[in-house]
This record gives sequence, C-alpha cells and structure tokens, in this order.
Amino acid sequence: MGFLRGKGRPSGGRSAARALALGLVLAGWASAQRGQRGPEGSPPGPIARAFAGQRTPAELRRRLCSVEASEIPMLFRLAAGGRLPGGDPDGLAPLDDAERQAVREALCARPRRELVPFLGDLATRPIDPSLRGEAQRLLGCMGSADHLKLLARLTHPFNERGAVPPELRAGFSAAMGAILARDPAALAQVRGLFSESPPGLASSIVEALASLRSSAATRILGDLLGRSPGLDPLLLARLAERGRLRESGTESVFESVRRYLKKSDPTLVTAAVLACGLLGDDGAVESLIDLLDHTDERVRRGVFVALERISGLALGEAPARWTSWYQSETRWWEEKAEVLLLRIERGRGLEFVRAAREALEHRLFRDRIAEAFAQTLQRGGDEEVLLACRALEQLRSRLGVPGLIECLESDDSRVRAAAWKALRAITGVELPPEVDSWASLAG
Amino acid sequence: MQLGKHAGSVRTGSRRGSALVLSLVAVATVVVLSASFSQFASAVANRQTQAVHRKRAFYLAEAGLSEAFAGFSCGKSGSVGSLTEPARLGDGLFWVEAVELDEDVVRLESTGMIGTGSAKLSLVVRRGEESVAALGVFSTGQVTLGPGSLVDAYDSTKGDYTTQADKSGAALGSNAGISVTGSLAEPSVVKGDVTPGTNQTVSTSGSVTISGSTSPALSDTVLPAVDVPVLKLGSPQVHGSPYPLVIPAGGAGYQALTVQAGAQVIIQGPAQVVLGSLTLEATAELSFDTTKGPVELYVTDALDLATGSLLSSSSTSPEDVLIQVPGVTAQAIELRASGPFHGVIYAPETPVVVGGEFELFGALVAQKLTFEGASSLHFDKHLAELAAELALPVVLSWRLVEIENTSGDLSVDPFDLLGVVKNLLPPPSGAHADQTLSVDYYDFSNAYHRYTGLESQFDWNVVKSVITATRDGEEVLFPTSTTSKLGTKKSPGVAPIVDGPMI
Repeated sequence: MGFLRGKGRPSGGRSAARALALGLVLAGWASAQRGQRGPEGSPPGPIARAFAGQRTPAELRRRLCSVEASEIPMLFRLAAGGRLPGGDPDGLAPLDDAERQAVREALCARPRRELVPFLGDLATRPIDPSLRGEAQRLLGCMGSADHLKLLARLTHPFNERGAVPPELRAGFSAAMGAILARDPAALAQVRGLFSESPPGLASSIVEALASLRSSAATRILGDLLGRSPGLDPLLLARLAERGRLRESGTESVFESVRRYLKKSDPTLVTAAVLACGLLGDDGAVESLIDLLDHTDERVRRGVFVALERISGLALGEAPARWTSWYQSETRWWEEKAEVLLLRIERGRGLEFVRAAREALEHRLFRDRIAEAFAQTLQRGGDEEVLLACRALEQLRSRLGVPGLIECLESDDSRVRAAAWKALRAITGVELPPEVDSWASLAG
Repeated sequence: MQLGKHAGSVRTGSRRGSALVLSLVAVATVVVLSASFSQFASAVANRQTQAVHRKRAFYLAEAGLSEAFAGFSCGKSGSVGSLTEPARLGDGLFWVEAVELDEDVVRLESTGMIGTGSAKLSLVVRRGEESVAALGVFSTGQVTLGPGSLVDAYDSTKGDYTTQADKSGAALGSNAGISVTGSLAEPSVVKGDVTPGTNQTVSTSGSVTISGSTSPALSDTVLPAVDVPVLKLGSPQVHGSPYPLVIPAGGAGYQALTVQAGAQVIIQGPAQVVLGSLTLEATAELSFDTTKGPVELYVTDALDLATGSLLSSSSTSPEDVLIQVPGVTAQAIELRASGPFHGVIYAPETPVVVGGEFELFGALVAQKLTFEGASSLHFDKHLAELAAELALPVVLSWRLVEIENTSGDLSVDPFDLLGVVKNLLPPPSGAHADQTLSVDYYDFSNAYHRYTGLESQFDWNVVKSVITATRDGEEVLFPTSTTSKLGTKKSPGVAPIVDGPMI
C-alpha cells in the first residue's frame, strides 16, 4: 500500500501522472486478482489499499498499523468478520488466517486511548456475539487492570436468568486470564468485580482465575468459596485442580475447603473430599476418617481416593484399615515425632540415620517431616545432606525445593546428583542441574 | 642293670610297632578324609547341578508362557503341547495348559523340564478389548452425507488439526449403502476410503470428491454392545441456573438432564456418568473437564443437542471423552450442537442425525447416519493405534507354582521320564493346539484365496498377504504389522479361490 500511495499521489508532474496511472493499473489488477476491492466506482479506502499488491503478513500488519484512528471501527469489523469491509459481501474473498491475524495484531498495537472509547461505545450497543467476541479478544491482548469492568460490560448477560452465551463466556475467561497474567494489579480487583458481576459472569471470573497458576490466585479462589453458593462446586473443582498446595498462606484455603466436609449435600461433600485429597490437606484427614461411614457411596469412594492421595498408601476401600492407620499415626505424632524430628534437624551419624529411617515410615503430615529434612540440608555434613536429599525425594514435598536448589552447588558430586534427582521427582519438571534453571521454582 | 637293659629293649621294640600303627592310622585318616571330601564335593556338585537344572527348567517354563502368550495375542487358545506331546526346546521340553477362568480371562500354566529340573509357572491373562473407534465414521445402516460435508483425518498426537497438511486417511463405512451429495457452492469431500456394505455401492450426486477407494466391504461389521455401569440414578434435573452445574469425578447418574439456554454443565473426569436422557437447549453448554481423567457418558433413552448448543472438552485428545448410547432410543439422536468437539460417539443401535454446525474430532459410530448439512467429521488416526493396543491381552497376574527336582539321579532325562521320543516332538511354534482357521489372503501371484478348516492342514507358506483371518472366531492380530487397522476391510472385488486342506 505504501508503494502505491507514494507513487500514485497526484503531484502535478508528468512523471507523477505516469506513476499515478501505473499505480491505478496495478491497484486495479490487484483488485481483480483478489476480487474484493471497494464498491464499484469509488476509490479504495485506506484499509483496502493496505491489502493491495504483494505483501507478507508482517508487511500487511505494518501497513494496517499506519492507518488513521478513524479507521479503527473498520479495522475492527474486518477482524471480527474476516472479510474486507465496504464491498459487496458476495464478491469478497474471506481473509486467510495469516491476514486476519495481521489485522488483529495491528489493532492490538493501536494506543489504548484510541481503542478503549471505541470498545466502550460497543458495549452500549445491541449484542452481536461475533463483535463482542472480537472485542474480548482485543481487550485480552491489550487490556490491563483498568479494563476489567469494560470487559465485563462487553460480556453482559443476555437472558432473563443472567446467562451468557457460551462463546462469550469462554471469550471472557480467556481475555480476563490474559489480563491477570499480564498485569499483577488486576488480581486486586477480582474480588470487587466478582461482587458486582451478574451470576452469569461469576463462573467465567472463576475460570479466568483458575487459569492463573499463582498462590495469590489460589487464595482468591479460596476466598470466593461461600460467596455465591451456586458457584461453590465449580470453585471446589478448580481448587482441586491446583494439586498439592504448600505455599505459605494457603492454610486459609484448606480451612475454606474443609468447611464443606460438614455440609449435608452429598455432591458438595464429594467435591470437597476430592479437593482435600488433591490439595494434599493433611489437616483434613480426621474429618475424612469421620466420613468413611457416610451414607452416600460417592462420598465414601471419594474419601478413599482422598486418603490415598494424602498418605500415598493404597489401603483399599477398607474403613477399618484407614482408621487403624490414622490412630497409629496420631499416636506416633503425639509420643515420638517431636524428639525424632529434633534428631533429624540436629543429629549426626547413626543418630540421624535412625531417626530418618523411622520418620520416613510415616505418611501423615509429610510436610512437617520434610521441614526437618530441609533444615538438615542447611547444616548437616555431606552424608546427612545426601540422605536428606533422598528423603525429600521420597516425601515429594515442595518445602524442600529451595534447599535442594542450593544443593545443586554442593562440592560433593553425590549431593548434587541426589538433589537434582529429588528436584525432578518433586516438581515433575525436567531441567538441567544448574541453579539458574531451577531458580523460578524456588518459590 | 640287666633288668634295666631288658627293660630298655622292650621299650625299643614297642616304639618300632607304634610307628607302623601311627602310619596306618595316618593313612586311614587321609583315606577317610579324602573319601569324605570326595563325597562332599560330589554332593555339592550334585546340588549345584540340580540347582542349574531347576533354573533352566524355570527358564523353559518362562519360554512356554511367552510362546503361549504370543499365540494368545493372535487368536490362539494359549495351549501349547501337552503332557503326552510336549514342545521340544533345546535339551528340554515344556507344555502349556490354557484354562478358561471367566469370560475372557484365561490361566496359562506352563511346565518346563530339563535334566532333573521341573518348574511350573502360571499366568492369568485377560483377552484384549474390541474398540470400534478405529472404524472412523461408521454405520450399520444407510449413511447419507448432505452438501458441504467434510470427512477427513488427522493425528491428534502430531499437533493441532489446522497445522497438519496431510488430512487423508479418513474411514467412512457402512454395512449398507452410502450416499454422498454435494453442490457447486457446497461440495462434499471425503479424504479417504468410503466403504459400503457387501454388495452395496456408494452413490454420489453433484460435486463430490472421494480421494480413496469406494469398493465394498469384505464382510459385515458386527458392533459390540454397550455395557452400562450400574449406578443409582438421581431424580431428573433441569439446570437453568447461570452458575454451572458441576458433576464431580467418580460415578453419577440422573434419570434425565436438561440444560436450559445459556446454562452450563461441567462433568469432571475421571467419571462415569449415566443419564436417562440428555437435552441441551440452544446456547446451553456441556463441558467435559478431562484434566484429571477421561469421561464416559452413557445416555440410555434420548440425546438431543439443539442447534446453537455447545459440546466442549478441555482436552483435544478424543479418547478422553466417550459418549455411548446403548440401546434404541425413541427418536434419532440429534447432534446439532456447534463448535469443535473432541471425542468418540458410539450409538450402535440408534440412528444419528448430524447437524450442519457440528464438528467432530474423533470417531462416530451409529446404527444409521445422516449428515444434514455442511458438518465436518475429522477422524483421529491415533484412535486406531489405541484400538490396536487395546486389542492385545493384558497380564493380570504371574506366579511360580512349583520348582523342584524330579530325581536325585542326574542321569534322569525328562524325555525318558515322560516316555516321549525327543526327535519326534514338535518345536514350540508347531505345538500350539489346533484350531479352526478362516483366512482370506493373496497368494504370491496375487490371486485371492479363502481357506476355512483346521490350521494344521493349512500351509502358511503360500500366503503373500492376509486380508483377514480368525481362529475359532477370534480375530487374528499381527503384532508385527506397522500399520494400525483403519476402517473396515475392503472386498477384493472378485470371488475367492476356495482352498481345501493343504497338508
């Protein structure tokens, strides 16, 4: 387009006139090739001119970025509809994926001051799902915390029950997820947005939060439990998907979930039971044991699954075995654990080995045991550290990750190898045995 | 003094005799020690030899189990040889007895013998399961494709559908006729084989492109019945809340589930869900959350996905979502939902109508299949690989039954012990129990043959390639084959040469 505009602009000179004629011929030829130019008799608009001639997607994007701000609505409709605007729709060839992507990238590159008023205006107009979906996508790629409410307005419920069309629901979650991932300040606004949003949007907010793998998002998910009872099953399900939680401050999440173990609705109890299991909530074991004789079969089965998850033991569907296991574990914790964990933290040689061996036989409150071994990593001799690395690998607790990362720099090659192995086992991530590679997982 | 001298001579004589006695005692001791040592060494060697025989017998029994399992995998009974005619392997022998414990569960008991060693091992195996997903798009009744239909293939393990250049390899089949219609504006395309039933044809009208063969099937395909899990069904549910209804992982069932406009139901895997009927109104959504495991949905009475409704899955692996309709429903199943759905739909006794907006990534099998408009079915070729894996038997348990020496005499030979002539015994591959073999094959001159009779009377050396084969009705799998079974077997288009006994 730049080439055609430059050569085709009337400048009064003969050479310019020739260039204009050539430009028009080329433009006409290009139009004929694509069969999708402006209305008959009218000169092609800036956007149509951008599509003229040979161009790569990058070139097309560059040309579209340079159009005037007044062309934004046209550009937006082009991104939404996938066809060049202004012509006879039947005669237009649809844009291919690369061209459409170039249009979207060009829109995203526009300054926010140009886009936001336009999108704000769109939110006040009758709902057209394809335009709203495009607007969501656009906000997702350029929006920040300030635009969350605009995103919600664009996704307003469309029926009397407050339901949102599925495609807008998914678009909202994706856009909000992208904003939350890009702008940390957006997380602070989620609670407020949740309170103000109609029910149809609340589940999409939860889905957006669930897509964010951060402890802050986990805590917000936990906080939202109980605020809209209809949404609790979804919140429990999404919390459960976050796996074993060991970040600081997640005790409140555990407590929020545990409250649902005492509910009367079996579906809700089942969801909470499964969540406790998947989150690895040792503190819920006592309540889970109490649910072993629940009248609902789904709850009972869920309890077995949860106990297996928490303990790492496969005692089957036998309540008596689980009860017995729990009693022996609590007895051990009450009578022996304190001394043994102290020996692990401070002991040396045989004393340490004996204490470690006994502690590793116990599967309840594994993180507390792991904490003791993590202490050893910092102060123990090489042999103790080596054993502690192996113990942490066995315990699969994330509490040991920072210490294990430091061990990757140990002078002893055996310690380095054991720490690397433990890190891979705990995190499930395959990274090279270098501290820098693991730094992001140090928490 | 004399007395003393006499006394001294007596002492001298006594000393001489004692040397002899001492020598004799020493010699006797050495002899006894040597004999004892020899005896001990012989006993140790004997024990060591017996231990070696036991170990070798153990390996022979293992070889027997392997041979039986390999045979079992390709439709044989699992019995190899017998006590009266065992299989010979090296200097030893083995035989395997197959005992049917339960439906599709068989115990293989292998006895190996060599020298004085004897070992018996037991393996319990379950026959492989039949999967219909490899059939692609299949119907036992008529298949009708409307204008704008697209049936193609991709491989979900090789990335997104849109990124794959090769879309060939689709399988569209039926036990009846297949009709494909297209128009200039809406051409219909099948990128692969279209296989009508035996003696049936593919009829096309308008703009239709079929890239593969349209020759009919070799034989009718029998679809296995659906086993519905027994679950207590809850009362009918009408879900219209703006909050999603979440069905948690595990087992759940409702007599009916209606999802009203704009509402959403999420089924969390791993789960088995049984529904009497399932209705999705326009803009309602049914989501399958398979991040923690697959979802199996059984709908027994009616399945209606209205135009504008949405089926979605968190995974793009079709094997993660299986929708099954076990019996005959009062009305045809209507799949008019929009959007891409990754899964397998299996309704062997019910007609299915596919709406114009429905786009399936996976496989679809029904009693009768009608594509109303420009619907797209993308067959996932990875399903065929999974089906091939699923068809292999599964080992449930292994145990050592006994291991012993049949005799303390090392010269004992198991062949003598059983009263068999070593050189007359068959090798392991020839010792499998005889079965009725039914095979369609091409010989080396590419002539099409069919043989039905005892396998012992069939000469496999005349076979160039097998079209299809069964042993006692069980399909013969060829584990060494590099390609998975896709779609239905094609008829060669000519009458076979029927073979009689060859051996």
